[in-house]
Amino acid sequence: MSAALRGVWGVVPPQKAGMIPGWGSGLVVDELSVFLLVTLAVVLVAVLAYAWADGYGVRFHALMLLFAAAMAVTVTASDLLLLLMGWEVMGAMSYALIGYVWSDPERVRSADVAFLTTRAADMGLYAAAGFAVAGAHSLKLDDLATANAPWRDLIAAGVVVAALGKSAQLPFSFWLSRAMAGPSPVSALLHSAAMVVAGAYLLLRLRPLLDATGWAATTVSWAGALTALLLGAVALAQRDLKQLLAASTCAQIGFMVLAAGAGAVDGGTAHLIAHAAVKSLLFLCAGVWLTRRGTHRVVDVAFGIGAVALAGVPPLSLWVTKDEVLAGVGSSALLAVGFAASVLSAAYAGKALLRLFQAAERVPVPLAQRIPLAGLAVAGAGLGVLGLPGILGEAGPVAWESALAGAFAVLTVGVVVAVRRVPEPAWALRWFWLERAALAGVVRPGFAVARALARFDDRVVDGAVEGVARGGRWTAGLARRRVELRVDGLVGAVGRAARGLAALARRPQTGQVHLYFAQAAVVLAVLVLVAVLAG
Amino acid sequence: MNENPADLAPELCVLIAAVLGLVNGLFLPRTRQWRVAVICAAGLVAGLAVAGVAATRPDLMAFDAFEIDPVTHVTRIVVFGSTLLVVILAAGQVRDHPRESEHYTLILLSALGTVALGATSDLLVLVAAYLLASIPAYALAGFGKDAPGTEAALKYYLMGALLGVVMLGGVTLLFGVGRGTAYPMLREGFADASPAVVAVGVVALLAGPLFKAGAVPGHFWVPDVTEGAPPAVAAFVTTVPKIGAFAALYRFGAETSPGGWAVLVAVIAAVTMTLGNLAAFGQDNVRRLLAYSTVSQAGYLLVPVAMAGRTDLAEPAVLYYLAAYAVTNVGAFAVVLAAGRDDLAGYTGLLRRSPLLGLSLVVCLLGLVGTPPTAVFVGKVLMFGAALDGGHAWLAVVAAVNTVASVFYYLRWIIPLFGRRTGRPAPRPARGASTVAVVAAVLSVLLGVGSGIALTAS
Amino acid sequence: MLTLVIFLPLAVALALPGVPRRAVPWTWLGVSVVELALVAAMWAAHGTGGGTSFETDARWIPSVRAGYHVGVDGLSLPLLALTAVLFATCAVYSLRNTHRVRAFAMLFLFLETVCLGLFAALDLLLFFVFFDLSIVGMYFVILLWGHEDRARSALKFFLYTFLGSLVLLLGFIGLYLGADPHTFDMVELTRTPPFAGSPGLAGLTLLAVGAGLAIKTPVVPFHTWLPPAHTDAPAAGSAVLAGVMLKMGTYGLVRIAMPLLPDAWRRYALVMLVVGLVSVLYGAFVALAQDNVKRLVAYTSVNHMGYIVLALGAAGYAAGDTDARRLAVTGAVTQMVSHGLVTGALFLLCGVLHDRAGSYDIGRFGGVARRAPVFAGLVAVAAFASLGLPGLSGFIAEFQIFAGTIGTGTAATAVTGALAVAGILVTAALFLRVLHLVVLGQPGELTPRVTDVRRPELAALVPLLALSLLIGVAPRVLLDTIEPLSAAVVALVGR
Repeated sequence: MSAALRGVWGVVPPQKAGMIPGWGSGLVVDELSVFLLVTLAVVLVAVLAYAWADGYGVRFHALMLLFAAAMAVTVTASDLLLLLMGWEVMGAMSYALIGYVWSDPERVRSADVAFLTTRAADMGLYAAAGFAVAGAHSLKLDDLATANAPWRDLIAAGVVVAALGKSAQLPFSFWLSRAMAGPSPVSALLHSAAMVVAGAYLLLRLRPLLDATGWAATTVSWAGALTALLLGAVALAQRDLKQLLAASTCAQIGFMVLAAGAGAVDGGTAHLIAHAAVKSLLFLCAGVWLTRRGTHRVVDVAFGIGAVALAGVPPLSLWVTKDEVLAGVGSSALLAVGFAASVLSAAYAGKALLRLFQAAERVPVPLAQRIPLAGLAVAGAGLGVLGLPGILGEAGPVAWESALAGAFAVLTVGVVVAVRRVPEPAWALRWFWLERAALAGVVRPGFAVARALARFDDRVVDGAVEGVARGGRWTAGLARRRVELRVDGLVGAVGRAARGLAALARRPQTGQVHLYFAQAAVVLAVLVLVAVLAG
Repeated sequence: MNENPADLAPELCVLIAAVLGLVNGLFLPRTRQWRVAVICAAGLVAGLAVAGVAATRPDLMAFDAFEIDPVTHVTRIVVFGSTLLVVILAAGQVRDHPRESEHYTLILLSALGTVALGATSDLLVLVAAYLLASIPAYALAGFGKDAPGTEAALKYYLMGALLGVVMLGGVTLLFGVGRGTAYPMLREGFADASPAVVAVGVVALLAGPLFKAGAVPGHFWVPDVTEGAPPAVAAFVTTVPKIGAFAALYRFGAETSPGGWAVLVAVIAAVTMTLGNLAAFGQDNVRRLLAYSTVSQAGYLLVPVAMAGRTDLAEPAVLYYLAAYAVTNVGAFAVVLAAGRDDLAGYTGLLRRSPLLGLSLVVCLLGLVGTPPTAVFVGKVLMFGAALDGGHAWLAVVAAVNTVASVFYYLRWIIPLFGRRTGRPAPRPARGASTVAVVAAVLSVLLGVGSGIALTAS
Repeated sequence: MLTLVIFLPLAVALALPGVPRRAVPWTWLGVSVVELALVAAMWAAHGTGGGTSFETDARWIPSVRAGYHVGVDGLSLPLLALTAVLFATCAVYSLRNTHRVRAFAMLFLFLETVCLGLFAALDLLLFFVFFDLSIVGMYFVILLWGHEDRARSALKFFLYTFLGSLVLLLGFIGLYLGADPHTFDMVELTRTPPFAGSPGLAGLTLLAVGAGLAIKTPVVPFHTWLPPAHTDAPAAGSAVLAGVMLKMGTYGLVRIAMPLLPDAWRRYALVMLVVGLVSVLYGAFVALAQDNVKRLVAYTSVNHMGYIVLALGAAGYAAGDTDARRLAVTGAVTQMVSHGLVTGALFLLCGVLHDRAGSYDIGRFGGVARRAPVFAGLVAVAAFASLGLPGLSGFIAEFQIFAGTIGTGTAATAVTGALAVAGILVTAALFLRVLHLVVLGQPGELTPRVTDVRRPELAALVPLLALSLLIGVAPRVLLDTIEPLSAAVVALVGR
C-alpha cells in the first residue's frame, strides 16, 4: 500500500461500545476497506441510476440500499460479529432481489438455491466465531492469526469455507448461475461487483491467518486457481450471455482468491476493483439488450470496451491487475494453471464480444442509463493504473510476463472472433452438474431424513406417549370389571367358600357381597404376608 | 389419672345437642322438625368453638385413653366442621321427612364416634368408637328406604360387620402380645414379640379403620353406598368417618410403630390410589366417580400414615390433607346435591346456568387433582415431602403418576360444564346446597392460600 | 410495586364481570398497557446493575419455610417485559373477537398474573404454584377457544405437562429436604446449595427437576404435546403458550437447576449438551417435513429452545473459558426473549391465515403476496427473524449461543456447538419453503380467501417485530441487563 494513500485515509478507530458486552467490536476504515467502499459507492450509484431509468419501485431501492449498507458493514467490520451481520444480510438481500419477480416460482426457486447454498457455507463463519472465542479469546479479525494451535486451523477452515461459498468458488459455484434469475441491475451490483467478491475480500483481509496455518494458504490458492480455470471453461461453453458473465465472474474471483492464497494482496485488491467496474458494466449492457430488445451505439461501445478489458487485452485494466496477481504467485504449477485460466478468460471474453456482431434493432436508451455505462467503461478501461507501482502496490508486474500474457490475450480473442465457434461440452454447459450433485447429495437426503424423522416422531415418539395413555385406559377398564363384576379364579374359589354369608342377602344384587368378602379376605391375607416379610 | 370431663367439652357439646335434638324431635310436629337441625348445628358450632379454645392448651391425656393433642384437635375441628356442612346439606334433603330429627341425631352420633376413633390411644376404646361411628352410618345409608338405599345399607353393614369382627380378632391377638391395650404398652410388647404374630394382629386390626377410611381392602362398599344412599349421607360417609379412621391409623402407627408398618401401609396406599383412580376412569355416574375418587384420595392419605414416625412431615401432612380433603369433598357432593343430577351429561352448560355453582365445582375438582392454590395442593406437597423424607421415593412417584391419571376423569366432569345445554331446561339448583358448595370451594382456596396460618395453628 | 404488577391483572379479571360487555376488550387492553408501563418502569429502576430489586419476602407457610418471596433481576426483567408485551399484543389482536369475550379476557388476565408471578418468584413452592396454574389456564384456553380436535389436544397438553409439573414438584421437595435447614426459599438455597455431600441424591433431584422442566420447555423426546396443542389452540393462545410459557422451562433451568444444583449440573452438563443438540437438529428436521404451518412453527420452537438447553449445558463446563460461558448464558436468555417475540408474531400470523382461509395447509396457498402485501411482508420479516437473520433478535441470541458454546473450548462443547450450527441451515430451508409455498409463486386454492391484515392485527404484529429489530440492531439495551446475571450464574455453577 502506498504511503501517500495511507496518509490520506488513515484509520478510524473502532467504537468502544460494541454489540455484545465484553466483546468490543466496531467499524474500521483502513487501506483495504476504503477501496472497497469507494468501489461499492461508485457501482451503486451507477446501478441505481440505471435502475431508476428502468422504473424499479420502492421495494427494489429499499433492498438495494439495505444491501449496500450490509456490504459497507462487511468490508469495514473489525470483528467477526459485525462481519457476519453484514455478510448474512447481504445473503438475504440477494435472496430477495433474485426473487424480485416473486410470482415466478422458478425465480423464487433460484433465490432459494442461492440463499441456501451461501448459508450452508456461512455456517463455517458461525463456527469460526466460536473457535475464535475458544482459541484467541477475541472476535477481532486482527487477533485470529494469534489463536492457539488446533483452534487456529479450525478458524481458518471455517473462514475458508464461508469465503469460497460467498464468492461462488468451487464447489459452490452453481448458485451464481441461479442468481442470474434476478434483474440485471441486481446482477450488476450483487453478483459481480459487491457481494460475490466479499469472500475474496475476507480472504485478502485474513491473509495473516492463512499464512499462520500454512495449509490454508495453499488450499485457498488452489481453490482459486482451479475455479479460475474450470469456471473459465464453463463460461466459454455458455450460450446465454448472463450465464457466461456469471461463470466468468466465478473465474475472475478465482484470481482474487488465488491472490489471497499466494499473498499478492495488493494485486488481488486491484483486480477486485477493476473487475467490479468491468463486470457491472457488462451486466448493465446485457440488461439493456434483455429489457429493451434492441441496442444502442453507446451500449455497443461500452460492452466492447468491457469485453476487451475482461479478455485482458493490453493496456486495459484487467490485463494489468491480473498480471500483478500472477506475478505474486510463487509455485510454478499454480502459475501454469493461472496462465491457462488467463487464456481461457480471453476466450470467453471473445465469445461475449461475438454478441456485438449479431444484428439488432436500434432502440433509444435514456441518458440516465447511458451515462453510467460510459462512466463504468472509462473506469473499466483505465483502472489498470491501480496496478502500477506506487499506487496500490509497491511492485509492478514483470515486464516480459505481462507482454506475453497481453499477446496471448489478443491472439485468443482474435481467434475466437474469427472462428466464431467454440466447443460447448455438456459438462461445461451444465456447470459440472454441481447443482444436481448438491440436490442429490444434500437436499434430497435432507428432505428424506426430515420426512423419516417426522414419521418417526408421529409413530414412535408420540406413539409411545399415546400408547401409555391407551394402556392406562385399558387397565382402567380391566380394574373396573374386576372390582365391580368379576373376579378371577382364585378369588372365585375362596368366594364359594364364603357363599354361606350370601344367604343373609335378600336381594339378588347383593349376591356380589360374598365376592366382596372373598376379595377382602384374600387382600388381608396378602397384607399379612407383606407385613411379615417387611417386619 | 386425669378424669376431668371438661377435657371432653367439645364432644359433650355435640352429645348434648344430639340428645336434645332427639328429645325435641319426639315432641315437635313434623313441619317444625327443622328446629332439630338448628339445635344440632348449634351444638356443632359450640363444639367447634370449644375445640378451638382447647387447641390452645397444652397436650394432656384424659381417662387414660383419650389423648388431647394436635391430632385430636384437628380431628375435632375437621369432623365438626364438615359435619356442620353435611347437616346443612341434609336439612334441605330430609325437610319434612317423618324421621327428620333422627337423621340429624344419627349424623351427630356417628361424628362423635369418629372423633373418639381419632382421639383414642387404647384398642378397646378404638373398637367401641368404631361401632359408634359405624352403626348410625348403616342406618343413615338405608334412610331413603328405597331399593338402592337398602341394598347399599346392607352391603355397608355386611362389610362393616366382617371387618369389625376381623378387627376384634386383631385386638385380641395384640392384647395377647402386648399384655395390654394401651398404645405405650403395645409399643413395648411389640419389641420382643414374634414378628409374624404382630403382623397378623396388626393387619387384622387395620381391617376396621381401613373399612372406615374406604381403603383397600375395605373399599368395596364405597361406590355402592355413594350411589345408593341419599346424597347428603353419601357426602357424610365418604368424608367424616375417614377423618377419624386416618387419625386413628396415624396415631397407631406413630405410637406403637410395629415392625414393617411403613412398607405395609405404603403397599396399601399404592394399591388403594391406583385402584381408585383406574376404576374412576370410565364412570358416567358422578356419584360413582366421586366414590372412586374418594378411594384414591384415601390412598394419598395413607402415604403420610405409612411414614408415621419416620419424618416430621408425616403429622402435618395427614392432618392438613384430611382437612383439605374434607372441605373439598363435601363441596363436590354439595354441587351434586344442588344440581340434582347424577349423570355427567346433566352437567352440560352448568357454568352458564349458574356460574357460581359451576365455578365451585371446577374449584373443588381441580382441588381434588391438587391444583394450587387449593388446600389439597398443600396437602399433596406435604404428602410428597413425607414420602421422600421417609425414604419411600417410589411411593411418591406412584402417587404422582396416579395424580396425573386422576386428571383424566376429573376433566371428564369439568369439560361438559362449559358446553351449551340442549333440550329442556334443568331445574334451578337448590339454594342451601349451592351455598354449601360455594362456601366449601372458597374455604378450599382460603385454606390453601392461608395454609401458613392453618399449619402453624395445628 | 412488584406484587401490584403481578396481581393487577388478576384483580381486574375478577372485576371484569361487572364491566359492560362493550368495554371488556378495552379494559383488557388498558390493563395490559398499564402492566407494560409498570414493567418498563421497574426495568428502568433496576437499570443494568446486578442483584435483585423490588424484593418482597412475606411468610406464607412458615412451618415448611415457604414464603411469598418475589423479586426481579437481570433474568426476570427481560422475561417479565416479554410477558407484558405479548399479553398486550394478544389484547390488541383479540379486539375484534366476538366469541365469549369476557371469559377470554378474564382467562388471559389470569394467565398474565400467573406468568408474571412465575418469572418473579424466588420461592420454589410459589414458583410451582404459578407453574401449575399456567397449565390449568392454558388448558381452558385451548379447550374453549381452540379448533378442530381441541378437546383431545387440550387433554394431552394438560396430562403431559401436569405430569412434568408433578415430577418437578418431587424435585422441589427433594431440594427442600436436601437443604439444611429445610427451606423452599431459592435465595437461601442458592447461598448454600443442598446435597453438599451426597452427589447421588443431587443427581436424582436434578433428574426430577430437569425432567419436569424439559417437558415444559420442551426438549426431544418430551415434545409431542406441543404440536397438537399449538395446532388446535387459538392464535393468541399459541402466541402466549410458545412466547411465554415455554420459557418457564428454560427459565427454571437458569433460575433453579443451575444455581441450586451446581455440582450435579456440572457432572451432567454433557447430557444437557446432547439433549440440546438433538432438540436443535431433530426439531429443525421434523419441522422441515411439516405441511401444517402451525405444526411447523411448533417444531421450530423445539429447535429454538434446543439452542438454549445447549448453551446452558455448555455453561456447566467449569473447565472451559469463563467469558465464553457467560456469553452462552447471555445468549440463552436473549434467545428466550427473541423466541418469545418472533414465535409470538409467527403464531399470530398463522392465526390471520386461519382466520381468513380456515386452513393451515401450506400446500393450499401460494402467491398470497399479491392479495395481502402487508401480510406477506410481515411473514417474511418474521420468518427471517426466526431463521436468524442479523439485524433481528434471533441472530444476536444464536450467535452468542454458538460463540459461547464452542468458545467454552472443551472438545464436547466445540463438537456439539459446531454440529448445532447446522440447525440454522435447516431452519433457513424450512422457512424459505414456507415463503415459497405460501407467500410467493402462483396463487393456490385458498389464496383468493386471504385478505390483508386488519388494523388490530397490524397493531399487534408490528410492535413484536419492531422489538425484534431493536434487539437485533441495538442489543446492548437487553444484554447489559442480562450480563450481570449471567456472570452470577456462571459463578454459581462454577463453585
